[in-house]
Formats: sequence, C-alpha cells, structure tokens
Amino acid sequence: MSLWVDKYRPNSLTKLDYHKAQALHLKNMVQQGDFPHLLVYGPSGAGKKTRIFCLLRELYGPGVERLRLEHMNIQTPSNKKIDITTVSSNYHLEVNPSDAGFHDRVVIQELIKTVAQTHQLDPSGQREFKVVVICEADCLTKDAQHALRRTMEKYVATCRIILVANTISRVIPAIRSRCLGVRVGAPNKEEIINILQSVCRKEGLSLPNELAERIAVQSNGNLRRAILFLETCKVQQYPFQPDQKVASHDWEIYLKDTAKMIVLEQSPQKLLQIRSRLYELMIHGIPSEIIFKGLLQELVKNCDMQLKTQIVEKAAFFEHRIHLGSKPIIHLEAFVASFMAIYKKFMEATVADLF
Amino acid sequence: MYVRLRSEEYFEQQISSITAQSRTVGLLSVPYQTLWEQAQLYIQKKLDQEEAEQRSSEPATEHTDSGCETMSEEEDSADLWVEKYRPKSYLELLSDEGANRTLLHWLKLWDKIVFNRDRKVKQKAKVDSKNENRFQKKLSHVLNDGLDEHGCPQQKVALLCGPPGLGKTTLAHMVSTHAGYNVVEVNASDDRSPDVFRTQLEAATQMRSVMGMQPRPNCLVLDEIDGAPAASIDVLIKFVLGKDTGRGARSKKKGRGGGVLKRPVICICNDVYVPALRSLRQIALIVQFPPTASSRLAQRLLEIARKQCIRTDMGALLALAEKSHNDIRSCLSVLHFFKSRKKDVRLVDIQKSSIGQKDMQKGLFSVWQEVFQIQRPRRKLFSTILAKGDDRLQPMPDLNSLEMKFDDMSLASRMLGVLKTVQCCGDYDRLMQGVYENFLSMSFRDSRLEAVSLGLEWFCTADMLSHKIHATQNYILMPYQPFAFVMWHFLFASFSWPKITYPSTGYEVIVKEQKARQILRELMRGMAPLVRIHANPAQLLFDTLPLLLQILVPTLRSVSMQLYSAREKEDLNHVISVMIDYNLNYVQERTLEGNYIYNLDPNIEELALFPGQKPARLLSYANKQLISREVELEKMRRTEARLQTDTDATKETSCSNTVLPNHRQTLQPKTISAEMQCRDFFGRVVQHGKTPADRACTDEIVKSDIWFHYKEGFSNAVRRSVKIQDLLNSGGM
Amino acid sequence: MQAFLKTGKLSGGQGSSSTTKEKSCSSGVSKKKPSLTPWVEKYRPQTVNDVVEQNDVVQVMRQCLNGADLPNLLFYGPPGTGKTSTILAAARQLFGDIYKDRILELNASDERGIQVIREKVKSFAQFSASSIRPDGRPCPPFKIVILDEADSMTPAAQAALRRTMERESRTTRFCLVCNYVSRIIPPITSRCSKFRFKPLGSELIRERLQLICSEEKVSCGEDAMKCLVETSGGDLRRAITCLQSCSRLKGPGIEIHADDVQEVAGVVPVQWVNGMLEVCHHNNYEMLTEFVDRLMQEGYCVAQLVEQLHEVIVFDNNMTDQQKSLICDKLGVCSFRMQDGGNEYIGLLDLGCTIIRTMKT
Repeated sequence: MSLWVDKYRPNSLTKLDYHKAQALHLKNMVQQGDFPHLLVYGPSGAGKKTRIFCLLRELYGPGVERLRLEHMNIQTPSNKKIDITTVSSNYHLEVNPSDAGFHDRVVIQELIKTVAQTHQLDPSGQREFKVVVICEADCLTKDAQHALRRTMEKYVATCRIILVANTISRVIPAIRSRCLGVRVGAPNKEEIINILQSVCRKEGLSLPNELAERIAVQSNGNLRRAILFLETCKVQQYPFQPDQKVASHDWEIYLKDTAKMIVLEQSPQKLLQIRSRLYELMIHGIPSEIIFKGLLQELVKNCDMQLKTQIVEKAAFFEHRIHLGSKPIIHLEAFVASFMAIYKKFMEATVADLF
Repeated sequence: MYVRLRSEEYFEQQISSITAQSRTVGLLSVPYQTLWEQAQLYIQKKLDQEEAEQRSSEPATEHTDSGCETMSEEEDSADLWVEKYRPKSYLELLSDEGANRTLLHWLKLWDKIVFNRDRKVKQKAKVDSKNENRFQKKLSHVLNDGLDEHGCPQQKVALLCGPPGLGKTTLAHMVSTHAGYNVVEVNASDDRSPDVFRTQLEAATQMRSVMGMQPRPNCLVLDEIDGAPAASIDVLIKFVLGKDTGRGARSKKKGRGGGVLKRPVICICNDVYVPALRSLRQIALIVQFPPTASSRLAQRLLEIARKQCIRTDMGALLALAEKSHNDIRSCLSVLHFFKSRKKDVRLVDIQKSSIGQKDMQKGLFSVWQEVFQIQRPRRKLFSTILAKGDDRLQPMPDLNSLEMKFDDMSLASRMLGVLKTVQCCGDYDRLMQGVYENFLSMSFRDSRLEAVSLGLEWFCTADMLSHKIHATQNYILMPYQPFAFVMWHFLFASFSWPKITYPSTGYEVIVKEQKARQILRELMRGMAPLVRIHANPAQLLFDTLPLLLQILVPTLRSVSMQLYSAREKEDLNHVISVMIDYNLNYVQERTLEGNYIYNLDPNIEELALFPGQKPARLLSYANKQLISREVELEKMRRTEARLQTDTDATKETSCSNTVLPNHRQTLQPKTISAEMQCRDFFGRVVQHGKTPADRACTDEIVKSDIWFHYKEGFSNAVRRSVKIQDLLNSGGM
Repeated sequence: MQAFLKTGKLSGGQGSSSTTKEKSCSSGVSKKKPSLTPWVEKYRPQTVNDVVEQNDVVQVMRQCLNGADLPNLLFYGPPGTGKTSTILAAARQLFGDIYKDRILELNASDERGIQVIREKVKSFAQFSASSIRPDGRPCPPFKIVILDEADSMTPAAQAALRRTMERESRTTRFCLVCNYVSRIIPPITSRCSKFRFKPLGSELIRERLQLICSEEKVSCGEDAMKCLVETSGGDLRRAITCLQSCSRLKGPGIEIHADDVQEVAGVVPVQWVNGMLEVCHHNNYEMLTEFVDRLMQEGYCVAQLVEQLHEVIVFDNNMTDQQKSLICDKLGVCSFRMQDGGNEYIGLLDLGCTIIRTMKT
C-alpha cells in the first residue's frame, strides 16, 4: 500500500472526495440492511472500485479488508481447464470472468452459482447474504450475461451481485433492469486538483497550482492517472517546478507517432510499416478500440470539416466491424488505408487548386 | 482372363522391363519361395504371350468380336476399370521407375530384422555399388543404407508423396507383397484417433497373421496420412523412434526387449507439406512421385482402349493424359465413360469434355502465386497469342469458344481460374493470411491507394465471413469466401514473379501477445490483495505500468547504503515497498554477450516499453542489486512480522494453556507405572519394590534446578562455551 | 418452479421470464420485512383475470379454463407486458396445486442447445397426464412446456423442437415466450397461435404505481410519478423496480423527486440531450469532441442518449423531414453498432458529424 494511488484511497463512504450526495444515498441504503443488485458504471479511474469497497466496508465492517487470493480451476463442458484467480474475504468475493475469455459463461455458471448457493457460514455475521463483485461486466459475452441474469433471479436470498462496468451500453437490458444503476462520473478538474493537493499535503510536499492543473488536464478525468502522474513527477524532480514536464504513457506516444507517420506519407510500403507498428501495439495489449480512438484523434487534426466527417464515418464503420470479425489488425489497417486514400485525394485536390 | 488380350508391344515392354529388373531382383536375397513364384509367373507369362501372339495374329478388326464385347461388358458391371487394370505385379507398375526402386530397396533393408537373414550384408554391398553406379545420381531421394544397432534401416518410415492418381497406394501394396510382406492398410476410412491408432500400430507391427496359407510378416501401409489428426501422427513418430510412453505399448514392448519398430511402415500422402507431417518428414525416407510420363500413360491407355475395343488414337489419349495432369485414375474413368457411351474418342471430344478436370489440390504457395501472378497464355496446344499486358482487361466476346476457354488472359477466365484454384485448396483462412501478409510487397501500380483500401475492405469482409462461419458453425456461408481472392487477384496481380513468404507474422504476434498476457497474469498473481482488488489487467496496462517503470527509478547514488542521505533512504524504502506490493523484483540474468544484468521479474518492461523507445532513466547495476537484496530482506521481514502477529493472536486466544518455550520447561519425573511387572528368566513375576533410596534420588533430581538434557529434542540454539562453574553458580543461587 | 417463484427476483427482467401485472392486491399482504421481497414479485397477477390490456389472450385463456382445449401458444411483445405472468397464472388456475408437476419451464438463456431440448422436453413429455387431480377435481389432461426467451434459442434447437411439438401434441402443449417473433423460425410460428402483448398504457401504469405507493407507504411526488411513467415506456416491471430502488436509495419516509428517478432509471438528463443538438448547430468539430469527451467522463449511457435523441429529433419543429430522416438513419446505425460492442466515443462522434452535415444543408 505504498503507491500513492493505493495509499490515499479513501476507505469509507463518508471520506469520499466527490459525488458526496451519492455516497450518502448509498450509506442510506446500506443502513437499511439490504440492497438490490448493483450495477456500478462510469469511466475508468473515476473511483468505482473504491466506492464499492467503501460500501462493503460499511456493510460488513473492517473484516472485508482481510483479503486472500485464491486460484480456482474450473472445467468447461469441453474439458478445457480454466484457471481463475479470485480475491475474497469472509464476506465477499471478487472475480473477473473475462479472464476466462470465451469461456466466461462457465465461470458465471460454476463459480458464482456455487458461491450463491452456499449460505453465509458464520451465523453471527451481520448479513445473511454474500456479495459477489464482478469486474469488467461490459466485457462479458452475451451468453454469460444471460446466464448471470438467471443466477441473479434464483439466488437473490443468499447473494448480492455488484457489477462493475465502464459502460453499460454493452450490458444487456435484462441485466440493466434487474440492477440498481450507480453512475460514477469522473471527477472534474477542480476536484482532481483538490485531491492532488491534499495528497501532497499528506506527503509533506508543496505542489504548485500550475503543475496540479496541468496534471489534471492531462489525466483527462482519470484520477488514478492523475495521482500516478503526480508521483512520477515527484520521482523525476523535486521540489516541483511549475513548468515541469509531465511524463506521458509510452503507448500513447507510440500511437501518436504512428498517426504522424500516416499523415506524412501514403504508400503501400508505408502501410507495411504502419502494420508492424500496429502489431506492436497489439502485442503490448492495447485493445483495438483504444488504438482506433487514438488514431482518429490524431489523424483529423490537419483536415477540414468535410474531411473530418468523412474520416470519422470511416472510423466508426471499421471500428464496428472489428467486433464482427476476429482479426482486429485487418480492420485497423483497412481504416488506415482508407484514410490514406481519402487524404491523398484531398491533398492532390488542394495542390491542383493552388496551381 | 484379361491378360490374354494383351498386345505384342505391351509384352515387349514388359519383357524388357523384366530383364532390366531381373538383375536387381536376383541380387537381392530372394528366397526360394519368391524365386519359385517368379518362375511360375514367368512361365505363366510365356504362356500368355504365346496365346496373345496367337490372338494378335488375327486381324485387327477382331476388336468388334462379339465374344470380346460381351465379356468386357460383363466385367463392366462387375468392376470399375480402375480396379480392373490395377497392376498385378511389380513389373506392371506404371509409376516412375526411380521411385519404385527406392522404395523396394528400402523395404529390402528390412530383411535383416524381419526375416533374419544375415548373409544379406554381403549382398547389400553389391546393391550399394550398383546403386552408385546406376541410379544414385539421378535419384533425388536420399536413402540411407546403414542399419542401426537393432538391424533396422536408419529411416524407419517411408513417406510416399505426390498428387493423386499416380499409383502410390498401388506401389506400396505391390512392393510390399513383392518383398514378402502381408499388407495391413489403414486409411482415412478407419478411425484414426490417437488411441485407436496406437493399438493398430502395435497390432500391425508386433503380431503376424496366423490366417492364410503362409504366415507372412506384416507391412503397415498408412494411406492418406495427411488427413490424420496431428496427435495420431505424433503417436506414430514416437512409436517409430521407440519413445512411445503410452501405457499399453510400454509394458508390451518391455517384455520384448527394447521398444523398437521391427516392421516397415509406409505412409502415403498427397501433400507432404501439411503441418502435421512436419516432424514425420524429418525422420522418414521421402519418396517423391514425379508425375508419370504422358507418353507412358498414353501407351497404357492405348492398351486398355484396345482391349476394351474403343476406337481412339494416340493423340487423343495424349491430350487426355495431359489434361488430367497424368492422373491414371481419372483417365481411366473418362475412358470408361466414353466406352459406356459407345463412342469413339477423338481429340476434340477430349478437349470438350469437362470430365477430365479434377479437383486437384495445389500447394499453398502455388495458390498464392496464382493469386498474385497473371498467367501468361499457354501456347502449348493452341496458338492464340495475345499481346502482353495492355489488353488484359479487354472483355472477350465469346467465352464458350474453345480459344477463349483456354486463354488465360481474359478477365472472366482469370476469375474462374483463381476461383477454382482457391476452391480446390479449401484452407481459406491460411490462404487469406498469406495474401494479407504478402500483398503489400507486391509490385502493382496504385499511387492513390484506392486499390489497397478496396482490397483491405475485402479483407474485412473475408474476416467477418470466416468469423461468422466459425462462431455459428454456419457453413452455408463458406462458398462466398473464395470470391475475395478473385478481387485481390484483380487488384494486386501482376506479370512479374511474385516473391511470396510464408505468413508467419500473424502467428508470431499471437505468440507474443500470449507471452505478454502471461507476464501480466504473473504480476497479478502475486500482487498484494488490497492492491489487487483495485486493479484490473487493462488498467494496469494503460495507466499503472508505464508510469510504474518511472516511479521505480529514484535518483540513487551508486554508493553503499550506509552512505545514503535520509531522503535517499526514504526513496529507497518507498521503491521497495512498491515493488513488493506489485510483486516485482530484480533477477540476475545473463545476456548473450556473457554480461550479467538485472531484469525486472515479471518483466513489465516488455509490457510497457515499445521498440525504439528507451526508458527515461536507468538504474545502475549496483543499485538494482541493492534493491533486489533489500526487497528480499523486506519480504522476509514482513513474513516474520506476520507470523509474529499471528502467534501473538494465537497467544491471546489461548492464554489458558500457555506453551512454555523449551528452555523454560522443567522436567516432570516420568511416572513409572506401578503395574509394570518384572519377570525373571522363567517368566515368573518377580515382586520387587523400589528401594526408598532410589525414590529419594529421583525426587532430588527432579527438584533441583539444574538439568542435563542429553540428546533430547531439537535445538537451534547458538553454540557458546559455558563453564561448569557458571552452572554451579546458578545452581547455588 | 415453486422455489423459483419464492425466491423470485429483486427487480424485473426485461427479457421475459416473469412480468408484473397488476394484481388487485388483497390488502392484507403481510409486511414483515418490506425490503426483502421485490415488489415486482409481490404485485404479480395471480389469476388470468388480473391480467389487463391483453384482451384476446385473456379471452382464450378463459375459454380454456372453462374446458376448451389449449392450443400451442406463442407470446411475443415488449418486455414487462405480462407474457410469462399470463401463462404462469393460467397454469396455476388450470392445475391448481399440482401445477408444478405439470409445467416445465426452460429458460433458453442458460439451457439451450439441441441436446437439452431433446432430452428434457422428451423425458418430460413422455409421462402422460391424467385428467383428474389427486383431490378428485377434473383438470386438463396435458402438460405445459414453457420456453422462455425462445428468441435466443439457436435455429438448430428450434428446428429440433418443431417435430417434438407435433409428436407430443397428445400430452403436451408448448408455450413459447419471446420478445421478437421474427427470430422464431416460421415452422414454429405456424404451429402456434400467436398473441401479441401490447405495451401498457401510461394510465394503467400510473394507477398501479400509486397503489403500490400507498401500500408500501412511499411518498412520491407528482412529477416523480410522471417521470416514472415516462421512463418505463410501457414496461410496468421496470417502473416498479425503479420505484423500489428509489425508495431504498432515499431511505424510508423521504419524498422521491424526479431527479432521483432519472438517475436510477439511467436516463440522460435533458440538458445533455439538447446540448448535443446545440453543439452540432455550431458546426465546429472541436466543440463537438469536447462535448463528447465531457459526456463520456460523466459516464452516461450513450445507447440511452441515442434513444432519447431520437425522440427529440422526431418532434423537433425546426428540421425538415429530409434532415430528420437522414439523422434518424444514422441514429439507427449508431444504435446497432453499439449493440455489437462498438466504441461509444467514435459512434457518438460519427453521429455528431452526421448531424452537423445535415444541419448545414
């Protein structure tokens, strides 16, 4: 617990720094001794998990902090063994079914059902139900979501499910309507700056406001990132300078460079280079939609409005197709190629206009 | 029966081949039996020949002889021609002479172990010399003549490969019968799952048939092995190499002493480059089948035609042979077909018929080549010559006319050609990957990149199609896949020779991706639970890890730890605790140059760093070493502390029955049970009370403070010299 | 089945498996622990007569209760309109106490595939049913197989079903429940009598909600009530779930406001919806991206936003019909892509660009 992100994480609902009204509501709900299934959603780094953990602590007391890692083996109907790691306390269990990839349905059916079927062992425990936290619920396959839906209905007496998702567009309506949706929006700039300042105070450092603001802007509403940036800055240089450079992520730089290469030259040979760079990004585990977003943001910079609309349309088209196919690289490259074609045509037209 | 109908030329040919062969055969160790058979055959043939000569002396118009006609018709109903005209002995084989001999020679090498003929060694030398003299050079197949310690040939498996219809199966059968084996055939129609396969292997190679006239050793022929599952082929390889660890096989073979394959195995495949066969290829004797010479085939066809009383000529048959790519089977089928229509076979008929076209599987590379290269018109049979590339897009007026059909330049025929080749190959996914990885390096003119982007859109479509097919098992969409190749052909093909590389990038990327995922999983596995609960893999990858790399590099001087300032120490401690939280440490590794470096383990640098980027700052070797040691120490300290708290906790809970540490315990005198009875030599109970002196003595010992434990229990105490005086002093106190 | 009903669900499911219908609530519902029984279960209709607004179905069911033969049924319609409730209530009335032996509910969402259809349905259908209840009263001599969520069954499984339906017709009736009738293969639809379940009128929903409010002693303002009815879109289950969640969240005795309802229902606030159109009026790409960024940070559901935009655009007075049709076309495409898992950011940007382009013309 020594990275600042972990160290200064609030651990009770009352200590949360923003969305206080919501925190109060949650506290209200828990105090009645029961709550429905929850679907917590919001952008990455907005503090969903923190909020859930505070909720659990409110519900069960500090006992939830005695955590242990468990590895479980689950066998699919097709006899494939899946290894799943769970984090659990006496009162709750956290699992990320999308670790199992395509077989997440089995995880839902086997693991969660087993947990849900067993009653709370400790009769003196305050609650008669366990909580199962399912991370990355938006990455669950449709099959898994359907299976979950049934489980939610069946074992409501012994188990509550908290789903964590970045976006609920991909959560099927059947699940959405069974859960109480809790939206956790990203903190705004001022809130981030305040938090950064308070972290620095606790560390005994002084943080110039300009730097805090730059970090807040660069973090783009992602609090985790903001605090990590802050710590990186501290390691790089202390005392802080107001004009200090804020380190950025390597993959972002790489992505931006790739985009620049695309704008610079359009030819099949270049495309081949771009392909290897895209491959490189994917090897490093950057999902294709992030690559798409990054490329799009960079590529449209030099274009006029009409071109922008064209490119955005292409991007949406190809990005959607990724989900219909199985080889993201092809779709990414198709987008790059069609951008090249459009851009080249546009450039030729402008050059022709000049003369 | 049919032998009677054989013509003169055929026999001449046969006789000549016999004379050519007879030496070889004679030199090999031919048992009496075989010789006898040979002689019988020879006599039979002579008789036949005489008869045939008689017949052939009759006028040629006897073709229409009614007896002959009815007879053949009778046979028609009974037998396919393919079966009927299957060669009946080694000498009748049509296939390439070299391949035949190599296989036979290889098979003869087995004689030592199978038939236990030792004198073979001497003869083998002769064979060798002859080999060298006569056809060693012209044969591409390298046959290793040496025998291993068990007396088996070095290459225990022969792999016959070549396009269908050249007579591979026939050859295998003929040769092994010829060499005195009983053929056991396993083909695609049999169950070839690994387990069944293994039992079959064992049965075939370790037992011999008891049925039949003379029990002969088995020779296993594995037909169509390229279609067998890879696991089965693995079984075969292990079996052949004597490494099979399967339970059944093991125990059985141990009884026989050494798990060695003692019977020849012949495998037959069409495509030797199937991935499943890769490892088999390395240990097997590969006999490539060159296509049968057209003339030879035509000759044979002519024989048969004559026998079946079909009016035809050599030219037509040559064309037929060429058209079918020298596939004996399909030629025979065509002939059969013509025969059943009772028509004459002419050149035109052959050209018109589409029957000769067969579903020929080509290698992946030839398919890719066809996609990327525009074929020049073939001028062998037809003289229509087009100008070069300029008019390649001209639509041809009449596609059904003969010229158009055989002209490879028209758009439609190009499309048909590509479509057909791709459809024949069938492995669309791999084909697509190959096109995808190669098309950008092709030389095509596309300055505006429209072709590329259009082509890539087709790739998307193809990807979606294949995904759909695999995800829903909806094979109804399969026929649409090849059309993408046509599009790519039109977009990217040129006249120049395409340089095609095997598509491996996709696979490599997958492997690397998996490795990265593995690292991440490793990292997650060991993270402190409280940290772990707030981290998921994606977040770690995007946000935490890249910055973590920088956070873990504080500015430290390369001096001893004692010399650090307070701030440096604080930094160091911070780094160490972060590393423990995230399950990181430095491990020493040796580079290729022989230097030692410290790498992070799990190596998150691999995850977060991109090629061409360098980490902003690096720690020196000494610093890493220092951190590594400190991390270990800190970990130890923490576990100790945890244990401490745990024991504390247990102590609190179990206050009542406190367990004293060993050194504080005082001994209790062992109660000697009073019931214990002493018996004298004869087993009578001896009544014998303790003397009071004894009792007093024990009491005294028990009560005194000083105890001497001799070899009692386990102690990890520190050794230290203690004087007896000290002990006495403490005793006195 | 009994167990399933007893445990029930906390909040309604949209798909099908059970639907809230007004139950003329016999006032004496014991309330030991109000928070533990989902209201959706508590106020589920108990008899066929309780089902409202679906007249033709109710008619058929009534006839059947009076002794007529029951055809194979196919219920379809939007979620929360009482499809499953109807068949369950009917079964309960038909068979009385033994109804759990006589029905087999297959939830297609976790028990799908040909194998299950074949084995379970077959073994269930093999037992013949007597026409007399254990207590001597008559009951229909057949069993009912309820296939919930039938539209998510694979075509292969559906095909396997079609022969079974005919072969077992002597002893078994099938009731398929689905949202989209177009996903059922024609051979099945032709073997069933189809009933469409209409979305409930807002008056009915309001009535029901008010009843629950008084029953559960929840104070709900007029605007909140209006908001509940609007967001439900004819789905009573959703409305009740929403009401219960709100009252839980606020704590007992505190009045529920419209904002709470909006937040719980996951509705995107009106200012954001209008903001989107406004930004597009400016014909400025940078402003659009900034707006989209902020929206994403707030974490609103973009699919929901698209739906709400549709409403706004259709009733907008400043746009020509052609503009509307162009934009709505794109709305459909966007919604579709997001269903398939497309990126929200890019999708929304695409939508914005389209609106900008159409506005200009």
